[in-house]
Amino acid sequence: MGDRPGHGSRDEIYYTQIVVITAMIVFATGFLAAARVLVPVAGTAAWISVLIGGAFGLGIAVLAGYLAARFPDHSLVRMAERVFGAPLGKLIGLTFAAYCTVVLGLGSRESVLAMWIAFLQTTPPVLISAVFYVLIIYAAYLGIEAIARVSLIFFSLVVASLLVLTALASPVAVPGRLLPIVGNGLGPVMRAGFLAASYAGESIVVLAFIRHLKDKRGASRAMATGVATGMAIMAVATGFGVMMLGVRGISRVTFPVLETARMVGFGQFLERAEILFLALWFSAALLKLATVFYASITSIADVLGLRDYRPLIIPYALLGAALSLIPKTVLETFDYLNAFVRYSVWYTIALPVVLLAGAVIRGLREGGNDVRDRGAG
Amino acid sequence: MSVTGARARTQSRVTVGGLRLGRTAVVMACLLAAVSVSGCRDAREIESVGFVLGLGIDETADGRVEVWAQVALPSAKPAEEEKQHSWTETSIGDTVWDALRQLNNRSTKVLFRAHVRALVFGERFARGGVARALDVLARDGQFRYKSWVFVTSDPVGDVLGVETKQSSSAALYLDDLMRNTARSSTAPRSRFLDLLTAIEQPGDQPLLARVSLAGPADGGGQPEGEESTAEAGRAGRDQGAGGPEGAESAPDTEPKELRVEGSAALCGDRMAGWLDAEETAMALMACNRLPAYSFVMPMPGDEGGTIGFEMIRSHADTLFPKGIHTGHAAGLVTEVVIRITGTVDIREVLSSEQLMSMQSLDRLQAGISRHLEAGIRRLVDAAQNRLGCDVISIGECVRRRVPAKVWEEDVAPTWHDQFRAIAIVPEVHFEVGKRGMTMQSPRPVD
Repeated sequence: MGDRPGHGSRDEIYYTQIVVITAMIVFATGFLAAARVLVPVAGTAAWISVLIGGAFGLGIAVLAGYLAARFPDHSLVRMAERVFGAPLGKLIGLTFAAYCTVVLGLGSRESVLAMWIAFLQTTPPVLISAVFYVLIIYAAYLGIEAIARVSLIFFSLVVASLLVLTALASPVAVPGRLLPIVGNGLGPVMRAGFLAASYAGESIVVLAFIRHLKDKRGASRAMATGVATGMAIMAVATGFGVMMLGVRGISRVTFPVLETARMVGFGQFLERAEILFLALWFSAALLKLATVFYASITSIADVLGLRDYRPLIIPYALLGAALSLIPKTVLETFDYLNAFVRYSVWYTIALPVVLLAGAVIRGLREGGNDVRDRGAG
Repeated sequence: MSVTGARARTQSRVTVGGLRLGRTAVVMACLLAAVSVSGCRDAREIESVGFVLGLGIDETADGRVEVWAQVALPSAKPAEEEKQHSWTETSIGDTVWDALRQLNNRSTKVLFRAHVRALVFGERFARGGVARALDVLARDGQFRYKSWVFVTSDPVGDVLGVETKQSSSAALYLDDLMRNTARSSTAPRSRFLDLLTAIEQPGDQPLLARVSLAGPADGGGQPEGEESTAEAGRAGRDQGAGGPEGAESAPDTEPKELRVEGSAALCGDRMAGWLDAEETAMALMACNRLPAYSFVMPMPGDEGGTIGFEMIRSHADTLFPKGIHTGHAAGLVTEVVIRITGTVDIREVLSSEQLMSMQSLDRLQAGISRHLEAGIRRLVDAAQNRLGCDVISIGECVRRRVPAKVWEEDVAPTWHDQFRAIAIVPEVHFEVGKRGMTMQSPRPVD
């Protein structure tokens, strides 16, 4: 059983676009506050824990890639239905949609808070959230191909902005603050690495639309490259945060990356340049959230057996916006975020492992042809 | 032409027409939004914004907090010489926020703190703890972490009220001084960020630049005496140990200038005392934060002769002879060697000794090293005995070498006490680099 031909089924995305989308999913919202979550655990070695988390994430991405290569024309829900049958498959699809919804809600809340607290203090957060969701709706309406193309453009700008920021931050950074190199010790660093893996684990969102990848053989490599890129960006952001603010400073501030950006400038002629960086970063966050939104509604459409996901856009956007407003305070948002970072990694590991193990045990592969059939043929 | 084909074409036209209509509606909605949601409803004209350039904070005699804000008054015409460029407003409250709040209420302009160039603490406030001001400023989304931080023993209002010909306000003058001339002066380039990060580390205590009022006669002049001629800012020493009353002896009628020289040493967030210009330079050199330094010293072997130098490179290593790579050893730091190497260029020779032999050059290098080593010893004595806080970042070197848990739990809480008991041995070795475009001084024929 293949996918039903619905809207967007003719979308095609390429290897580089999957790399970029995966990288954006991994870092675009998480890197705003990742250092504040990881530094209290790992200390000065928080950047190493991000790399360790990246190694975990590589494993998850490779497993997800193998799964995608095994079912090249299937979305995640269809894979689950193929492996475990329709009822259980739909249930797995719903858990995936729920995971995406949480990523969307927390990601949008975090981004809205960062804009609200730092820049738009007198603007109601509901209004900022509404603008976010209008843009997300438009992106989701255009489909994954459009999101992938725009992501490719913005990703290069975001990377360039981060390189500029790194260069400008170098005079203010004190490399000695990264010592001792093992931070709070090997145990805490590994524990923080596991927390960081939850950011890398968000790459499983790509499973919802990996079937649009033109050359399926590169799925595993593309996802792994994306995870490595995203986590490298996050490690650099964390490392520079520690070098500029110190361990205690990072643990104290609301959004470490924003503070880092506030401290750099182009001499005397361009002050308050952080707004330039933030415009780009929020564009990246927007594209990530649009991608997650798209993954979520296409999964729900698959679960409900809808030919077209578009009728779900508005109701789901309302649901997402409402969920993102549940945490009333910054503290509550960060509490939710900490819980998500602590526990979601298990889901991101379990999902590809369970599906891949089921497919291997049942010898399932490709659209309807299992291994035994081929062997018999 | 079949009926099916015609129907399909009709449907296609309807779809295209619908899309066009939809796009037109979206474009119209965007245009309407651009007009109606542009922020004009509560927009602030630039004339109604007060750009705060300098902030001053001090404690009154009855323990309240007084805040000064120096606000720029941009003029429409650049050539309005008569016009006042800035005004300084003051307010008193129970806390810094309370005073700032009242300042806002009284001001006809909306005070905008994103362009604060200089933050000046009064000595009384600094001795009581600057953390009282850090919280409100760190929470402020407008305030810049790159603002320069100063401490003064003079009245803060007088410091911010100084009029200079070089800049339109005292805050801008201080900013220019720190950006352009502090590289070779003897004050730390203390930014708000450095203060924030340093007060949380007992092994890396902050030094804040000292700003003081000086009469024109004091500017650049140096007291007489052999050793006193040595350092560019030795004049600050007289004020330094003296405390807040140091600069108040000058008559009020005399026009004042601002001088940035020396530093205030903080222990945690409380000011522990002053370091004079030379001590500050030595502290910065020991922490590898001295970008440039110039000094004059007696010519070795020629009584009455002097020689002037410019330091172009220095590097300090903090060595722990017994090693402290384990938590157990961290509690037993008893001896530290500060090894400093560097190069100086000769800028002036006023002596009959023209340094034309290798022996004379060796003697000079030994003399320079001895001279700077003596400066380091004076600094160590001041840090351990007078101030009692680690302004030479030895604790930071320990923190980098021991496990974080050991530092946080065992060493950091008692570091101030431990620091006072450590034997700190300076080892200084400097070389002479360039001697300029002439080998010998031009002299008339005897």
